[in-house]
This record gives sequence, C-alpha cells and structure tokens, in this order.
Amino acid sequence: MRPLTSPPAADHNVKERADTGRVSLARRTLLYEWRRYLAALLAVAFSGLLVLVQIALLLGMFRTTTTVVENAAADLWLVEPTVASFDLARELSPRAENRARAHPAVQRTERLALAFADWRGPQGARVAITLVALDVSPGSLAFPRSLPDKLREALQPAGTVLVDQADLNKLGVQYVRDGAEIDGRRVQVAGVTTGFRAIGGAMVFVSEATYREIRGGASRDTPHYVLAGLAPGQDVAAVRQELSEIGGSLFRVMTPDELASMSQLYWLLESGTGIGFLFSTVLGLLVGVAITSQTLRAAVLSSLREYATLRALGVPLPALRAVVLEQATWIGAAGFAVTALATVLVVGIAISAGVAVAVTWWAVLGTALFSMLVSIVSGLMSLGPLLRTEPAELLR
Amino acid sequence: MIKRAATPSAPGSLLASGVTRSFTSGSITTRVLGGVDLAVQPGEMTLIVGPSGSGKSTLLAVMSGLLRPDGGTVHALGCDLWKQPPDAIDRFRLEHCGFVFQGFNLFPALTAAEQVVLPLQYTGLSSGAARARAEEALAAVGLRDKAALYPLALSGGEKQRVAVARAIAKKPQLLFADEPTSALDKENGANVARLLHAIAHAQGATVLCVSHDPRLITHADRVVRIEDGVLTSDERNTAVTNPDPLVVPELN
Repeated sequence: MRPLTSPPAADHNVKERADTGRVSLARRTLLYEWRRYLAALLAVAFSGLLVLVQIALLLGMFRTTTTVVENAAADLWLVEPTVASFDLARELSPRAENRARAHPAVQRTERLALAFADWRGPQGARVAITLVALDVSPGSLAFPRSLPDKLREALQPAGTVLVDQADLNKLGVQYVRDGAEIDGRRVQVAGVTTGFRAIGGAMVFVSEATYREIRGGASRDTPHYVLAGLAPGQDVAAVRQELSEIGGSLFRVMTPDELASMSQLYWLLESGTGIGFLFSTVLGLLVGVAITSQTLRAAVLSSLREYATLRALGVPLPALRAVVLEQATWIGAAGFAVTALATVLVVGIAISAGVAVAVTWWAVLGTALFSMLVSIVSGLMSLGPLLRTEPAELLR
Repeated sequence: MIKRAATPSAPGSLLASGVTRSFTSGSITTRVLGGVDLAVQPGEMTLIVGPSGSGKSTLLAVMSGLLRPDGGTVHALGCDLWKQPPDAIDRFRLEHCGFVFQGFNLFPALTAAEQVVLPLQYTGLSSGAARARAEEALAAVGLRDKAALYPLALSGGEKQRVAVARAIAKKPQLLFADEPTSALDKENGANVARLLHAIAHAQGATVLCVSHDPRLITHADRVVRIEDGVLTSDERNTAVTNPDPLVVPELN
C-alpha cells in the first residue's frame, strides 16, 4: 500500500495565489519604482525631522525655565496674579501664605524666592545668576525631587550654595567647597546639581537663611511664590478652587503643570522664537511639498497613457485619483518612519552632548500629522495631469 | 464608385447616425466627421480604413464613448450613448467595452496577470474570480506561461497580446481596436488580427477596428473606407483568410 501523504503541489500553489487579494497599483508601483519615489520619501522625512527637532530644542530650552516647578513636590503654587512666566517672578503679598495655611486641607506651606544676583567666581569670573531660595528643612516641597537628599542637607549650613554641573566652567568652579562671592558676600559651593542648566546665566540654589544673608537690607522678606502641600487624600482641584476664591486679587492658585505650561507658552510666544518656529515649519512644508509633489507628478506623467487606458476601459476617475493619493499616503507614512528613526538618533546625540531637548507625545503626533499633510497636499497637487486625461487622446 | 454592402436586416449592435465632429485649433476649425452613418454588426470584425487624418480614429472614439460628437447619435447595445451623463458612460464602457491601442500601455510595475486583473477589480468581481478570468484570458491569447512576467521581459507582440487579454477578460460585447498591429512585425501582427477576428466569431462580440495597415484587411469580415470624414465604401470580405484562430474559443 502506498501511504497518502502530502497534498499535490499544484493545489497548494493555486490557493496561495488566490489569497494574495487585490492588486494595488499604488503599492506595486511604489515598490517597483522605489528609486523614483525615494526623493519624495526623503523630502517628507527631512521636513518632518526639521519640525520635530526644532520642537524638541525649543521645548528643551523653555523647559529649563520651569525645571524648578516640575521637580518640586508642591500640589499647588500661589502666584502673584500678573506673573506671566515662572522666571519673571513678582513679590507676593505677605498675607498670601497665611491665607493658604488657614485652609484646613493645606498641610504645609513654603516660600520660594527668585533673585538676580552677581556671582564672582574663585578666579574672579563674573556671571549674572538667578538665585533660587528655598526651604531646606526635612520634607521640603520645593527642593527638587530629582536630587539626592544629601544635597538638601548640604545646603543647611548658612553661606552654602549648590551650582549645576552644566555651569561649572561658566562659574569658574572646579571643586566642591570652592569659595565665591554673591553680591559681595562670601559663599561656599556645597554640592553640584544636575539637570538645572539655565539658558543664560546660571541657576544657584540657596537656603532661605543664606538668601537673607546675601540680600541683607535689600530683602523685604516677601516671597515670590508660596508652595502648598495638601493633606493626603485631598481633592487638589477642589482645594485649588477654594484657595482661588480666598486669594481674590492677592494671588492666583495654579497646579505645577499649569504654571509650567503657562511659562513655556509665554516664552514660545513672547520670545519671537515661536514665530521663527512657525516660519521654518512653513518653509519645511513648502520644501517638502515642492519636492514630493514634483516627484509624484513626474510619476503620474510617466504613466499617463496607462491611466488613460484604464479610463477608456471604464475605470472611474476617482479610482485613479485614489491610486495617487494612496501612493502619497504611503510616502507620508514611510517618510514619518524615517523621521522617527532619525529623531531618535539626533535626540540621542543632543542628550549625550548635554543639549537641552524634550520630545513630547504631542510633538511626535503633530509631526506625524505634518508629514501626512506634506504628502497628501503633494498628492493633491500632482493630480492635475491625471484629471486632464482624455482617453480619446490615445486614439491619435 | 461607391460599392454598398448588402445592408443586413439586423439593426446592428453599434449604430452611428449623422455623427459630426470638428476640432478647433486657434482660429481654425476643422471638420473631421461630416455626418457619418454606420451600423456595425455583432459576431464579425469590422475594419475602418482610410488615410491618416481621414477621421477614422475620431469615429472610433465617438462610437466607443470616449469622445462626444458635435451632432448625431450613437446607439450602443440599444443605449443612446451620448444622452447619458458622463459617469453612466464610464460605467457603460466598464461593463461592455474592451479597448486595444497602438501603444500597449502596460504598467511597468505589474505582471502580465496583474495588468489583466487590475481593470477587472473595478467591475465588482472578487479578486479570486478576477484572477481566474485573467488566467483564462491570458491562456486565450497564448500567454499562459508568461502570466508572471513584467512588460520588460515581454516582446512587442507579447505585450500587445497582454493588452488584448486585458481588453477581452471582462468578456465585452463591444471590442474596439485602434491600429492594433502597426507597432508589430508581420507574424505578430497577423496573430493579433486573427485573435480579434476569432473573438468576434467565437463570442459574438462586436469588433470595430481602425487601421491603415493593409495586412489587417484580409482578416476583416467587413471593410469600411473613410476619407475626409465621409464613408466612401463599405465592402464585405468574402474570403477571410483566418486559417489559425489561435486558441480563442477557450474563452467561453
């Protein structure tokens, strides 16, 4: 007896061929003539990269103004009502802290002050700095959560400061315990922070006591911000609402996210960089569309007789339009994939070089939409010759 | 002297009456068709011949629903073609018309089988059925073994046979061919001509062909001459030399 084994090969082939489904002219052409479409794909990818890296750099830069806010443990911030950005602080009314403390849900309040000051380094380097004066007692809300508690303790002795790793050269600091002067008062570097690079100048952390010592008579002992920590289980939104009503015109109550967003948006719009960004994004859009639409248009033109033949055979015009737009969509998707890979690379290099960059999900999503916009607009712009196709012209 | 073929009593599947058409280029208007009446019968191959510029291609374009005439009517399969809105004319061509052009007009990125499947997909056939039809049509033009080849790997004659397969795969009742043999050598030209003749006879299709290629005349059942936009003769070809109808009858 012969065993009945494997099915006939022919049957298998037929089944496989039937399963391949519809012929997609768009995809088959893209794959077959990939060299032709490569220019379009790279144009989309680079215009996307231009946009995403710019957003990352801008966000990175503006985030440096709010790192203190984002790293603090406070649930709510009391802010002088006319303040537009965290770094442009204004003095709060001395009554603000008492009012906040009177609220039963508030467990702890702290004051925080910012001041511009003059730094004179160990070798005489002079730098304009921003002093950040904060509560350094145990359980501090203001002291950055990103830093070890040891550094908080190092700030407790009067006359000590923390400087950032990124500013050491600028400040002329080589060793911990180097001496320096701020506004003519002697201070000692007690430790080095990381992640608090400032756009201009440098950020220097001090305790409230040291701050008063440095400012001397200039200090009116009024804070710029009051930080509030709520008792566990409190509804932050409800307390925020109640404190706002109590505050009236004395102060605004903001969550850390609100304060950070407001500050970043302020810089984006007020500094002119936002307009610059918009300008170069539009430029990227134009360059991307110019190259991509020309590539697609050339591809349409080279297949015009074939498209016209399909028209003659009764294939409706919208179906042919869909072929070009499908091609554009694939180019957009593939272009964005290249953008994403290149961004990982560029951001990686930037981070290892200590450049402040920040990539957010909405920036990535926005860039993906931008890439699709570039390719779809290009697809629409390349439809012209196709729409003018007259199958009767094949008969000349 | 104009010889008239005995007009068959059947009204014909494709009727042009009083068709006129002019083209304007700048300030000059040229009358290309000057009131043409023509009844084309199913089950035979009708050939329109004439010198270049005689209006034969324009007549084909008007009768196939590709070019709107200035005047006159075209009845195709009982439908007053140019009374229909544009998308209905598209649909009519999709359902009933096949076309073969002088240039083969094949997409370089598609295999022979895919060239044939592509227009079938728009007729509402499932992809499985479309592939089966394409296989059948390619077999009918003798290209069963070349279904997986791209145009780059096909000879001129093979490309035109793929184009014929693309035109006949949907089993059209009307098949139009414009200079289908002029880009081909003698043998391939004769093959394609026999193919068109066989399709008319085996399937009862109405085959209307336009050419100035005298080699085609021997394959046509009826030869209509046109000059300066007017029909000048209409002859029935009694001795059609069609010894080898390839394999077309398979297509039924």
